[in-house]
Amino acid sequence: MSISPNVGSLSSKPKNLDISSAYWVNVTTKMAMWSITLPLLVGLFRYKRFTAVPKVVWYFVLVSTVFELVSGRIADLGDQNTDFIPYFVAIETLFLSWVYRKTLDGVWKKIIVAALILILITSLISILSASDSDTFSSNLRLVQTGVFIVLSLVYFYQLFDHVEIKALGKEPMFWFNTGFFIYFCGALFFFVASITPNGEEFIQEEIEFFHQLFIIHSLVMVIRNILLTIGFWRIPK
Amino acid sequence: MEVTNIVIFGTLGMLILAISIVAFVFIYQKKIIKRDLELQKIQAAYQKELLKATIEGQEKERKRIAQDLHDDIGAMLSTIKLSLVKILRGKSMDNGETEKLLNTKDLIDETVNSVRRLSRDLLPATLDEFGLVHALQQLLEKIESNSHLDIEFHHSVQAPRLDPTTELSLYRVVQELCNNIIKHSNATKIDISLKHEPQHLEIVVQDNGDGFVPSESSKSGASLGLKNIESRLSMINATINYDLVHSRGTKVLISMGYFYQSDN
Repeated sequence: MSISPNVGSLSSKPKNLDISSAYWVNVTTKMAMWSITLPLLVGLFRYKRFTAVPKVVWYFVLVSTVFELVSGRIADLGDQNTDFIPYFVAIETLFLSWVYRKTLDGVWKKIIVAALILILITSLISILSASDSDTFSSNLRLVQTGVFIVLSLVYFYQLFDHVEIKALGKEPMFWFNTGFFIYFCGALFFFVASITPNGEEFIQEEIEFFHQLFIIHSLVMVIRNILLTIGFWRIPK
Repeated sequence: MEVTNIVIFGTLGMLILAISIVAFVFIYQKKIIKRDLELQKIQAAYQKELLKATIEGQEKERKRIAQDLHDDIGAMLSTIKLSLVKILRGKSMDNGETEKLLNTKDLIDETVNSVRRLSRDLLPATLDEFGLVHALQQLLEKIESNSHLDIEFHHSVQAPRLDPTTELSLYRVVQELCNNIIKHSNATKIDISLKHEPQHLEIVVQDNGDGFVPSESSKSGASLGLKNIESRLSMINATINYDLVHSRGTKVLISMGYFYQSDN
């Protein structure tokens, strides 16, 4: 989910607003928002070929699209859309945990369940917590990102044992996993930057920095969506 | 500013690291698959060699037993028979004893014939001397005379000789197929054709029996004969195809390229 920035509504509005970087933020955010329709449509085209894993990934894309549209609309209306993050994190975690539980072997199935419970409890606390919800969301996002980076790496590692997969390029889950891996790696520092030792929203104080991060985050989302699209396209008959 | 640089470069660094990991996984997995395929090839070649050695060992053993039966036991039985004839001629015996000795002589004759037949079955001498076509002709004549089957054998007039291993393998395969037809198919007719083309050899064995599905035979555990056939053909780089027509019998096609002909 891209956190559509509403530059004008930031709590610490910068004095020298860089119009050109704000423009690029808007462009890349819109790109990220609309790029989610790519895997959605290609997945719909391939829907009859779906097995369990692509089906769940596609439903995840569908839910993400709804969140994107709603959060985008809220940002357009001039409100902050970060209140949605804990809900989205909880749903995203449910979908992705199911995907990795279905895909990974051995003890990892149990570890995924434990991680899922941890993230869901954190999400719940985040949703119920009225004060300082943005910082808590960032913490939650950071935990979720770390968990899914590890799971993506485990998938890659376990690929070496699955000699029955002759061509990785034709394996949809390889593309899905690559998409999630690149997205979470690209977004990790974005979420780290959202947390400051004293709990202040550090990224909102440096508008240039904030813009650069948003541009990178949006581009990473576009890459993820392209990789998910390739994954759906490669689903065999 | 330092922190912002760390975050920006950290993000870019993470992205580069992620892409590098994906590239590494992609390349390394390909290498693993390649290595695995090579290993499989080596194992397949090793198994083939092992199979070849086993079959050759079996054939050597059969040859030795056939020779022992023919030369030792056959010769000893003949000697016993001669001694018995001498006894019959030399001594005056009462009718009861003569009848017993004559029965014994008949029994020895039957045993000599059985030993010869067994010896021939173990090692078809015609195969070594006259080649596959003559050996098959003799085998089929024998099957026809001992069963209710009507067998037709079509072959090229001038069939070239193949190497001994190939000839023996093809002979055993046809023998096993005929045995299967007799045991399981309820057929009344078998058509066998042996074609020598410039580039390859083709044997077609067709019957008018019940028809069978090789996969079903393997499920029922009756596939040892079929496995033997496949092993022997694999040894000489030949292939086998079953063309099943239920209620109209089975057509088995064996083909072998001369290019792949075994060296032995």
